[in-house]
Amino acid sequence: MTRVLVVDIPGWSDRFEDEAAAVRHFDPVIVSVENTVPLVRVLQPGRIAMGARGPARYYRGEDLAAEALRAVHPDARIGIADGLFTAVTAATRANPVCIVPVDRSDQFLAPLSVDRVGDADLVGLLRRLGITTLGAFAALDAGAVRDRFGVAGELLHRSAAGHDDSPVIPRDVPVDYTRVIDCEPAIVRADELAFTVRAVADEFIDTLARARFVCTAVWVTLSTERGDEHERCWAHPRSFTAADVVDRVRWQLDSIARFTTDTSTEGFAGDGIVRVRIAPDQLAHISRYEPALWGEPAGDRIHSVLSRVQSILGHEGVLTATVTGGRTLADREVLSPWGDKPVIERRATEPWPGHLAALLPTTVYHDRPTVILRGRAVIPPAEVFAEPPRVLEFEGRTRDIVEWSGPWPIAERWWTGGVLRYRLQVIDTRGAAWVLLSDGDTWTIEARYD
Amino acid sequence: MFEVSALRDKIREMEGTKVVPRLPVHPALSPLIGGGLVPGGVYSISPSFSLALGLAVESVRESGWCAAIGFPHLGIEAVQGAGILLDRFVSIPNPKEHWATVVGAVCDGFSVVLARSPHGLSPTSAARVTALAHRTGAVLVVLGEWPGATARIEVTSVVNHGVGDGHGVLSSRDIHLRASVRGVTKTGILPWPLDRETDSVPPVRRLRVVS
Repeated sequence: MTRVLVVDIPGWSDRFEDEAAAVRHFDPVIVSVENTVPLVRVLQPGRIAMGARGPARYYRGEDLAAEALRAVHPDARIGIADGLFTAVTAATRANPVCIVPVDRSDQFLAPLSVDRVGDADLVGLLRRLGITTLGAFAALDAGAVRDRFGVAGELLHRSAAGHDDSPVIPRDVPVDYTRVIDCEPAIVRADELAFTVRAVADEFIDTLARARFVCTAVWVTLSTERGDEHERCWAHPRSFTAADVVDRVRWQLDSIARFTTDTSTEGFAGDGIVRVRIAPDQLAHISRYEPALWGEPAGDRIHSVLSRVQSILGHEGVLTATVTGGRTLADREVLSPWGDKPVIERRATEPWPGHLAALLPTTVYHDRPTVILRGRAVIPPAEVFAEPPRVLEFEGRTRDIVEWSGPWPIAERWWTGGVLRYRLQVIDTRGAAWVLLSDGDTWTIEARYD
Repeated sequence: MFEVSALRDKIREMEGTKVVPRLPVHPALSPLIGGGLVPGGVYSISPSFSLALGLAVESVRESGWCAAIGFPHLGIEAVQGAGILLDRFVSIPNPKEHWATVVGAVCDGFSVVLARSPHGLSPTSAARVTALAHRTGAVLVVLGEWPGATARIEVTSVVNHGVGDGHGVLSSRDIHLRASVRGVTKTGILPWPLDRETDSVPPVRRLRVVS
């Protein structure tokens, strides 16, 4: 556990009229502390944190380091402890110096008020549950806390138990969160790959959590023996857990396997994965992410249910729908896997001459199965049938047509050589209504009312 | 699990109390099924997605999620047009051999689950799904046969308006229904689109009886 030293000047912000002034006047203090100890991190105006090990070694003891800092700022309180949360707590209770020995954080924190976790919503709820001390909060089961309060709650819970190990790093030091896993020998099977990736995914998410980040989009790159690279960015409606990352790696391998066996001659078996790269695309600071984690308990439940279904059926097994612009009914639907952002190319608000707006059918065929329409001279191009359509043959069944309407032409960029299509509505003897579409040769089923 | 829920039903019947309030349903369907949907009930209906939407739409209008399982050719615009918010709607088009597992999982969290019944579902699996719906309070609408359904609704005929011989465009449909709840049979008409009053339609021109 990192030893952390916190310098706190009580009532700093109260000395100034506004926050801007408090920040401005704090700058010289930071510089003066940096002359004594380099690499400090400002927590708020009046409060600075730094790693304690360096100064303790330099000044030959944590107590002597604290004295050295107090010599610069006589009104400062100083706390030294394991982890940032405990050190801040120690500083605010220091008179004027409070040093919590190694591995004693839990004992130090346990009797203190639960208010110190600093999250008003969480504290309010805990108090209603009869939990008034940090010790009582820390005694709650970590899994249960995570389920109810999300990642942010889990971090606070860890802090309350004295396990806050967020690194004290100055903000402008860039950190590379990318993880690379080399597979030797190459891996072919998805379950084997999932097993290999699991530990790294755990560590990846854990590292982000300690830096107080949640990951909402991640790049997964799979390199094959042949030297191909399959890269894909996966988004998450909330934030990734380690298991979610493993799922995405597995799904990506599945999709490559499908693609490869479809097109290549020797199949996927000869082309194992030699390297997996996991890199965050979007990170959100946990404090910014909190409202989303808090506000919708139902959303959490829905998400966990759908994630479970996705782990059974695959990523594309659960779809969300958006309506967009387009002339054919199928064009107007955008279905995207749960968790992905829909890719919308056409806007629904633009006018789409030729689209069926009157009565919306409940079944829309994207693959548009071919049907046989009997009667005579029923194949366009013809604005009017010479003889009405009589019989509809579909999936081996014959249906007699009793009413029909159309065909109406749908022009699709005909000025650039686009095809001219026709639409027709027919109603069979059982009252089922069908929407048929033709490009001039055959009739296909566009949709059906059922 | 099934025995427990059956027993619970029996106790409830004996106590003569309706513990759970019914969920709102389209006004045309309300008198057919005793005033509303029973939370945790299973409704077995003819394969008409319009009817399924008619059952679902009111209970998820304000809140709650709706799922459609086993409909690879879903008319999304029709779902939206019926009044279901797509933000709280998901489609699981092809649950394959995991039908019972998927339906069971989705019942935990969703208000209304619309599912096309698979071929050859074992009575044990069906009983397990029934019990799950009952426990979670999700309304399960099954397009197809279902053993021990809360209510059965079948489409007896459909009257289409607006299409003539080669002219016009389909403007509305009257879906004639026969519902049976615990041996009591009632008939009614569901309009499509759902927001149309059945009274205001032009007089019925032709009525075709389904086999």
